[in-house]
Amino acid sequence: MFKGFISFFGSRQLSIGLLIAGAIYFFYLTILWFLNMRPPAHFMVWSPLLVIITPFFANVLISLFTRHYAYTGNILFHAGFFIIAIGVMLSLLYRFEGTTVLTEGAVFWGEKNNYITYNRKDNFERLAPKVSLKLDKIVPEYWGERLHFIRLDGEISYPAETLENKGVVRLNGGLKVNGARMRHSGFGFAPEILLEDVKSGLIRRQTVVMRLFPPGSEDYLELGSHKIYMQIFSDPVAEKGKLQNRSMNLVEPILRVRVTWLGQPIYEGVLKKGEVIRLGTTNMSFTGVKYWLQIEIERDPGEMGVIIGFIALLAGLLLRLVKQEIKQKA
Amino acid sequence: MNYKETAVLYLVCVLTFILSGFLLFSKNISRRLYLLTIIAILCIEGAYIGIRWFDTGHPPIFGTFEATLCASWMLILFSVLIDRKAQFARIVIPIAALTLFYGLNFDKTGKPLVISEQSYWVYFHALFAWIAYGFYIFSFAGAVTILVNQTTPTPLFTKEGERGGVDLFTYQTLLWGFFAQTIMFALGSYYSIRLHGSWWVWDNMNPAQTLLSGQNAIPIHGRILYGWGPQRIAWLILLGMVGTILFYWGLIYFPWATYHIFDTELKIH
Repeated sequence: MFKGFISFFGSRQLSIGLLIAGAIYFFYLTILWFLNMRPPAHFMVWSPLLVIITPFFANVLISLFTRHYAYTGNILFHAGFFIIAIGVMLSLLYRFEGTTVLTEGAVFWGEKNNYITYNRKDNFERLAPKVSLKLDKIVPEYWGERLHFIRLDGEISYPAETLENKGVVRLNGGLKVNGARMRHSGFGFAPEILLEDVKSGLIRRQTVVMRLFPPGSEDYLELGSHKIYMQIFSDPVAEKGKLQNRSMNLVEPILRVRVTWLGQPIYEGVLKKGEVIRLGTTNMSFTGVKYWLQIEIERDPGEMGVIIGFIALLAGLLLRLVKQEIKQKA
Repeated sequence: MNYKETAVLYLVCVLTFILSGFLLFSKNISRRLYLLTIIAILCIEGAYIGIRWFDTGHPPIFGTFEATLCASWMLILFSVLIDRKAQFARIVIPIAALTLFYGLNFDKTGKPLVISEQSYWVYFHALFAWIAYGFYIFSFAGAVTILVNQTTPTPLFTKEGERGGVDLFTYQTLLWGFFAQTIMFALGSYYSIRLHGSWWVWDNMNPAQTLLSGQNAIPIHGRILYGWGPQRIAWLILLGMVGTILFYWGLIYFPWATYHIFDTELKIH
């Protein structure tokens, strides 16, 4: 029985059969993509793969022990898959991912409430990286007037409120702080709104993170029964009496505002810096526009495992190829 | 692109086109003339790539035109390095010419890289993709040679004892292509975790390239484990090449978004 199991799972037929099965499965996934169909749940992609991968690992493991692979290069190449699998397992178990949104000048302390989303809710203290930072400045650059970013840097100082280290958060996240990788995944405009209660004289200033980028996009905020829809003109110019954007840079920005009260439109107009509109007992004005950046903070103890696995794969292949070339030349 | 650059580009196209014509229709092209011509093409196209790199501030990896430049240059480079006897020139040089001509249909304006592409990881990912492509094209040429020689031998390939050499060459280029493709995969996967926070994303390129990798691994394993003959391996390599053409160059014709940028104007990829 055991011998039969070993000989079946370590067989050459199974090796080639699994390769063909794997190729067919990825052909199926490719066709799905071509048809613009995406499996609705993650497990629908991974579970068939698991059915192929499990006997594949059994096949490789048995072959490693039965010296099915005659060359060191082959052994190393196939052992690389195990190292990758260990890395992936570590990732699945211990990877921390959190998201925060910061405007220029804002501070992130790494506490639970600083994140807008994060996984590992039960193990936050253990798995979340000890990171704090201040987002000093956001620098976007575009290619001409197009929505084609050639630069989008979030300049930070860390730990927060110190001048100890300076760094830049980018889309392709090179920055690592305390083992946590940081990259940005969202960007936009955040109008600074000033609300003044006419009765009490109470003033509240709020920087509102809104989805107003690229200019022309509309988002809204709610104030009691009022819904305030906004569009931003980041660099406005009036052409033939019509407002247009010269660029996506913030140059004396203005807001186009549309207000509804209980679903009924009550106001529509353009709001310049310092101008006030009256909403019931509240005066609303805007004092400026800042940039905001959505930052992903991740710590993945499995990452190094996967990298070592890749190196083993490549080293194995190279060893095999070079040895073969030497042998043939000899 | 100014008129001088345009002239250099079209000079490369004309030279490649003429050489392809000679290789396809004349049986008496001397090896010396062949070598001189491909070295000239290599240098002129290389210079054009260099100028474009200098102008745009990045290696030519952005959009289909730049991809075809790299692909054709890599084929010419490989012809100089591994095929000085012009054994596979009748197949490889016309493919290089076709690749170049195909690229001319796309926007040739030099553009700065978008932020998602600005990384050495991407540059090396693309470099190894083209190295793999170069080896696979040679492996494809070897496969065609094996299959054609079965019935109608062509003088360019029928030197005595050549047959065994072609088999071996085809297999070795397949192996080296597989090696370069694995490096490309590893670099792409590592970059994916930096960019998307995941080793794997739902992008056409990921399943398609895994499929192609598996497709190329089948003949390799077949030969090692079962000692499959050259014909069967040649057919599988041919199938792999069909997949490469369809799942790489063909992707631009699908409207669905991908993270791999093939065209910078027509649609957002």
